[in-house]
Amino acid sequence: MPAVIENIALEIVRRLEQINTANGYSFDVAGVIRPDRLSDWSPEDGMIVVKQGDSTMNADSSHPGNPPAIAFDTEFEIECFVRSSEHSDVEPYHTDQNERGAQVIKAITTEATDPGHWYTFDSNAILASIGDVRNFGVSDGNHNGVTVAINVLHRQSENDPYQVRA
Amino acid sequence: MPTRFEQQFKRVAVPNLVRQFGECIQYFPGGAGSGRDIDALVVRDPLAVASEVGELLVNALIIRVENNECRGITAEEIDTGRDKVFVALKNGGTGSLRSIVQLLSDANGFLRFLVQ
Repeated sequence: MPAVIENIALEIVRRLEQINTANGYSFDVAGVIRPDRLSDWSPEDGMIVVKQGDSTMNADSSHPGNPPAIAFDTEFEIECFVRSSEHSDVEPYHTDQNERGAQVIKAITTEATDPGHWYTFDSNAILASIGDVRNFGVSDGNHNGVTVAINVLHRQSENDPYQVRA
Repeated sequence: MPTRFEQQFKRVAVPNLVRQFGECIQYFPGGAGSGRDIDALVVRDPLAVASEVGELLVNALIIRVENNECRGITAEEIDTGRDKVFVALKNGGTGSLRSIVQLLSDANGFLRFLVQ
Protein backbone atom coordinates (compact mmCIF):
# COMPACT_ATOMS: atom_id res chain seq x y z
CA MET A 1 0.00 0.00 0.00
CA PRO A 2 1.49 3.37 -0.99
CA ALA A 3 2.14 6.10 1.55
CA VAL A 4 -0.38 8.93 1.85
CA ILE A 5 1.67 11.35 -0.21
CA GLU A 6 2.16 8.75 -2.93
CA ASN A 7 -1.58 8.15 -3.06
CA ILE A 8 -2.09 11.87 -3.61
CA ALA A 9 0.48 11.91 -6.41
CA LEU A 10 -1.13 8.89 -8.06
CA GLU A 11 -4.54 10.53 -7.86
CA ILE A 12 -3.19 13.68 -9.52
CA VAL A 13 -1.74 11.58 -12.31
CA ARG A 14 -4.98 9.63 -12.67
CA ARG A 15 -7.02 12.79 -13.04
CA LEU A 16 -4.65 14.27 -15.59
CA GLU A 17 -4.79 11.08 -17.62
CA GLN A 18 -8.50 11.70 -18.10
CA ILE A 19 -7.74 14.70 -20.31
CA ASN A 20 -8.94 13.78 -23.78
CA THR A 21 -11.56 15.02 -26.15
CA ALA A 22 -13.79 12.00 -25.49
CA ASN A 23 -14.10 13.17 -21.88
CA GLY A 24 -15.01 16.71 -22.87
CA TYR A 25 -11.59 18.31 -22.75
CA SER A 26 -10.16 20.42 -25.55
CA PHE A 27 -7.08 18.33 -26.23
CA ASP A 28 -5.74 14.82 -25.84
CA VAL A 29 -2.99 14.48 -23.31
CA ALA A 30 0.09 12.90 -24.90
CA GLY A 31 1.10 11.23 -21.65
CA VAL A 32 1.45 11.99 -17.97
CA ILE A 33 4.87 11.26 -16.58
CA ARG A 34 6.71 11.61 -13.32
CA PRO A 35 10.47 12.14 -13.49
CA ASP A 36 12.58 9.01 -13.21
CA ARG A 37 16.30 8.37 -12.95
CA LEU A 38 16.86 7.48 -16.58
CA SER A 39 14.77 10.41 -17.82
CA ASP A 40 13.30 8.18 -20.47
CA TRP A 41 10.77 10.69 -21.72
CA SER A 42 10.55 12.81 -24.79
CA PRO A 43 8.86 16.21 -24.82
CA GLU A 44 5.88 16.45 -27.12
CA ASP A 45 2.85 18.59 -27.57
CA GLY A 46 0.27 17.90 -24.88
CA MET A 47 2.63 15.97 -22.62
CA ILE A 48 2.33 16.60 -18.90
CA VAL A 49 5.11 16.23 -16.35
CA VAL A 50 4.09 16.01 -12.70
CA LYS A 51 6.78 17.25 -10.35
CA GLN A 52 6.60 16.92 -6.62
CA GLY A 53 8.19 19.35 -4.21
CA ASP A 54 9.27 18.88 -0.63
CA SER A 55 6.77 18.12 2.10
CA THR A 56 7.00 20.82 4.77
CA MET A 57 5.61 20.15 8.20
CA ASN A 58 2.62 22.30 9.06
CA ALA A 59 2.56 22.75 12.83
CA ASP A 60 -0.76 24.63 12.86
CA SER A 61 -2.61 21.75 11.24
CA SER A 62 -0.89 19.00 13.20
CA HIS A 63 -2.53 17.89 16.40
CA PRO A 64 -1.56 15.91 19.45
CA GLY A 65 -2.73 12.41 20.24
CA ASN A 66 -1.39 8.96 20.62
CA PRO A 67 0.08 8.80 18.10
CA PRO A 68 0.08 12.47 17.08
CA ALA A 69 -1.15 13.50 13.66
CA ILE A 70 1.44 15.35 11.61
CA ALA A 71 0.37 17.64 8.78
CA PHE A 72 2.45 18.49 5.75
CA ASP A 73 2.23 20.99 2.93
CA THR A 74 3.36 19.62 -0.40
CA GLU A 75 3.50 21.51 -3.64
CA PHE A 76 3.03 19.74 -6.94
CA GLU A 77 3.91 21.39 -10.21
CA ILE A 78 2.11 20.27 -13.32
CA GLU A 79 4.00 21.16 -16.47
CA CYS A 80 2.05 20.94 -19.71
CA PHE A 81 4.02 21.25 -22.94
CA VAL A 82 2.91 23.30 -25.91
CA ARG A 83 4.95 22.47 -29.00
CA SER A 84 3.52 24.19 -32.03
CA SER A 85 3.95 22.89 -35.55
CA GLU A 86 6.11 25.00 -37.86
CA HIS A 87 3.85 24.24 -40.79
CA SER A 88 0.30 24.43 -39.53
CA ASP A 89 -0.08 26.12 -36.15
CA VAL A 90 -0.79 29.80 -36.47
CA GLU A 91 -2.28 30.47 -33.05
CA PRO A 92 -0.16 32.54 -30.68
CA TYR A 93 1.36 30.07 -28.25
CA HIS A 94 -0.04 31.99 -25.31
CA THR A 95 -3.49 31.07 -26.56
CA ASP A 96 -2.59 27.38 -26.33
CA GLN A 97 -0.92 27.88 -22.96
CA ASN A 98 -3.97 29.61 -21.54
CA GLU A 99 -6.19 26.81 -22.77
CA ARG A 100 -3.93 24.02 -21.52
CA GLY A 101 -3.64 25.67 -18.12
CA ALA A 102 -7.41 25.92 -17.87
CA GLN A 103 -7.85 22.30 -18.87
CA VAL A 104 -5.31 21.13 -16.31
CA ILE A 105 -7.16 23.00 -13.57
CA LYS A 106 -10.44 21.56 -14.78
CA ALA A 107 -9.04 18.03 -14.67
CA ILE A 108 -7.53 18.45 -11.22
CA THR A 109 -10.74 19.87 -9.75
CA THR A 110 -12.91 17.20 -11.29
CA GLU A 111 -13.46 14.07 -9.31
CA ALA A 112 -15.95 11.58 -10.62
CA THR A 113 -16.73 9.89 -7.32
CA ASP A 114 -16.99 12.94 -5.08
CA PRO A 115 -17.23 16.09 -7.19
CA GLY A 116 -17.67 18.48 -4.26
CA HIS A 117 -14.48 17.34 -2.58
CA TRP A 118 -11.87 17.39 -5.30
CA TYR A 119 -9.37 18.83 -2.82
CA THR A 120 -9.22 15.63 -0.76
CA PHE A 121 -7.67 13.66 -3.61
CA ASP A 122 -9.67 10.53 -2.93
CA SER A 123 -9.78 11.11 0.82
CA ASN A 124 -6.01 11.42 1.16
CA ALA A 125 -5.71 15.16 1.78
CA ILE A 126 -7.37 17.73 4.00
CA LEU A 127 -7.22 20.64 1.65
CA ALA A 128 -5.76 21.63 -1.67
CA SER A 129 -5.60 24.84 -3.61
CA ILE A 130 -4.53 25.92 -7.05
CA GLY A 131 -1.37 27.99 -6.85
CA ASP A 132 0.52 30.02 -9.41
CA VAL A 133 -0.04 29.46 -13.09
CA ARG A 134 3.19 30.27 -14.88
CA ASN A 135 4.21 30.20 -18.50
CA PHE A 136 7.48 28.62 -19.39
CA GLY A 137 9.56 28.86 -22.52
CA VAL A 138 13.10 28.97 -23.74
CA SER A 139 14.78 31.62 -25.80
CA ASP A 140 15.50 29.29 -28.72
CA GLY A 141 11.84 28.35 -28.91
CA ASN A 142 12.20 24.60 -28.39
CA HIS A 143 9.42 24.34 -25.88
CA ASN A 144 6.66 26.39 -24.47
CA GLY A 145 4.10 25.45 -21.94
CA VAL A 146 2.32 26.23 -18.77
CA THR A 147 2.97 25.26 -15.17
CA VAL A 148 0.12 24.91 -12.71
CA ALA A 149 1.06 24.67 -9.05
CA ILE A 150 -1.10 22.78 -6.59
CA ASN A 151 -0.63 23.12 -2.87
CA VAL A 152 -1.82 20.10 -0.93
CA LEU A 153 -2.25 19.88 2.83
CA HIS A 154 -2.33 16.32 4.13
CA ARG A 155 -2.12 14.72 7.53
CA GLN A 156 -0.90 11.32 8.65
CA SER A 157 -0.05 9.45 11.80
CA GLU A 158 3.37 10.29 13.17
CA ASN A 159 4.39 6.65 13.28
CA ASP A 160 2.42 5.47 10.26
CA PRO A 161 2.84 7.52 7.07
CA TYR A 162 0.41 5.16 5.38
CA GLN A 163 -2.50 6.16 7.60
CA VAL A 164 -4.55 9.25 6.79
CA ARG A 165 -5.62 11.26 9.84
CA ALA A 166 -8.68 13.43 9.82
CA MET B 1 26.53 31.15 -53.26
CA PRO B 2 28.16 27.99 -51.92
CA THR B 3 31.91 27.67 -52.27
CA ARG B 4 33.49 24.95 -54.36
CA PHE B 5 34.56 23.20 -51.17
CA GLU B 6 31.01 23.22 -49.87
CA GLN B 7 29.71 21.77 -53.13
CA GLN B 8 32.34 19.04 -53.12
CA PHE B 9 31.71 18.27 -49.48
CA LYS B 10 27.98 17.99 -50.04
CA ARG B 11 28.34 15.78 -53.11
CA VAL B 12 31.12 13.47 -51.98
CA ALA B 13 31.87 13.66 -48.29
CA VAL B 14 28.39 13.73 -46.84
CA PRO B 15 27.09 10.52 -48.48
CA ASN B 16 30.33 8.72 -47.68
CA LEU B 17 30.41 9.82 -44.06
CA VAL B 18 26.81 8.73 -43.58
CA ARG B 19 27.45 5.42 -45.32
CA GLN B 20 30.62 4.78 -43.36
CA PHE B 21 29.57 5.85 -39.88
CA GLY B 22 25.80 6.06 -39.99
CA GLU B 23 23.12 3.87 -38.54
CA CYS B 24 19.56 3.34 -39.66
CA ILE B 25 16.88 5.37 -37.92
CA GLN B 26 13.28 6.00 -38.85
CA TYR B 27 11.88 9.45 -39.53
CA PHE B 28 8.22 10.17 -38.83
CA PRO B 29 7.01 13.41 -40.42
CA GLY B 30 4.29 14.83 -38.23
CA GLY B 31 5.17 12.34 -35.52
CA ALA B 32 2.79 9.67 -36.74
CA GLY B 33 1.97 7.47 -39.69
CA SER B 34 4.55 5.38 -41.43
CA GLY B 35 8.17 6.27 -40.95
CA ARG B 36 10.88 6.22 -43.54
CA ASP B 37 14.27 4.65 -43.05
CA ILE B 38 17.24 6.96 -43.28
CA ASP B 39 20.89 6.63 -42.42
CA ALA B 40 22.07 9.05 -39.76
CA LEU B 41 25.11 9.97 -37.70
CA VAL B 42 23.96 9.88 -34.10
CA VAL B 43 25.85 11.59 -31.29
CA ARG B 44 24.61 10.36 -27.95
CA ASP B 45 25.16 13.08 -25.39
CA PRO B 46 24.90 12.71 -21.63
CA LEU B 47 21.65 13.69 -19.99
CA ALA B 48 20.78 17.33 -20.59
CA VAL B 49 18.89 19.65 -18.31
CA ALA B 50 15.54 20.86 -19.54
CA SER B 51 15.80 24.12 -17.65
CA GLU B 52 12.46 25.45 -18.85
CA VAL B 53 10.68 22.85 -16.75
CA GLY B 54 12.65 23.33 -13.58
CA GLU B 55 15.88 21.44 -14.07
CA LEU B 56 14.34 18.19 -15.20
CA LEU B 57 16.77 15.80 -16.86
CA VAL B 58 16.12 14.73 -20.40
CA ASN B 59 18.04 12.61 -22.87
CA ALA B 60 19.58 14.49 -25.78
CA LEU B 61 20.86 13.23 -29.11
CA ILE B 62 22.39 15.23 -31.93
CA ILE B 63 21.66 13.69 -35.28
CA ARG B 64 23.11 14.46 -38.69
CA VAL B 65 21.43 13.30 -41.86
CA GLU B 66 21.79 14.18 -45.49
CA ASN B 67 19.93 17.35 -46.36
CA ASN B 68 17.92 15.84 -49.17
CA GLU B 69 14.56 14.20 -49.59
CA CYS B 70 15.75 10.90 -51.05
CA ARG B 71 18.26 9.69 -48.49
CA GLY B 72 17.68 12.12 -45.63
CA ILE B 73 15.50 15.00 -44.55
CA THR B 74 15.32 18.44 -46.11
CA ALA B 75 15.54 21.60 -44.05
CA GLU B 76 12.30 22.69 -45.66
CA GLU B 77 10.25 19.67 -44.63
CA ILE B 78 11.47 19.22 -41.06
CA ASP B 79 8.98 20.33 -38.39
CA THR B 80 10.60 20.76 -35.00
CA GLY B 81 7.20 20.98 -33.36
CA ARG B 82 5.85 17.63 -34.53
CA ASP B 83 8.38 15.35 -36.21
CA LYS B 84 9.86 12.35 -34.45
CA VAL B 85 12.55 9.80 -35.03
CA PHE B 86 12.76 6.21 -33.92
CA VAL B 87 16.24 5.87 -32.50
CA ALA B 88 18.03 3.99 -29.73
CA LEU B 89 19.26 5.96 -26.73
CA LYS B 90 22.19 3.60 -26.38
CA ASN B 91 24.29 2.35 -29.25
CA GLY B 92 22.87 -1.02 -30.29
CA GLY B 93 19.98 -0.67 -27.89
CA THR B 94 16.26 -0.81 -28.45
CA GLY B 95 14.83 2.18 -30.24
CA SER B 96 12.08 4.47 -29.08
CA LEU B 97 10.12 7.29 -30.62
CA ARG B 98 11.58 10.67 -29.70
CA SER B 99 10.83 14.26 -30.64
CA ILE B 100 12.95 16.45 -32.88
CA VAL B 101 13.10 19.66 -30.87
CA GLN B 102 15.54 21.98 -32.63
CA LEU B 103 17.16 22.42 -36.01
CA LEU B 104 20.80 23.21 -35.33
CA SER B 105 22.18 23.74 -38.83
CA ASP B 106 21.54 22.91 -42.46
CA ALA B 107 24.89 23.79 -44.01
CA ASN B 108 27.11 21.85 -46.41
CA GLY B 109 24.70 19.05 -47.19
CA PHE B 110 24.12 18.00 -43.62
CA LEU B 111 21.01 18.59 -41.59
CA ARG B 112 21.89 18.66 -37.92
CA PHE B 113 19.15 18.58 -35.31
CA LEU B 114 18.55 17.99 -31.63
CA VAL B 115 16.40 15.12 -30.44
CA GLN B 116 15.13 14.77 -26.90
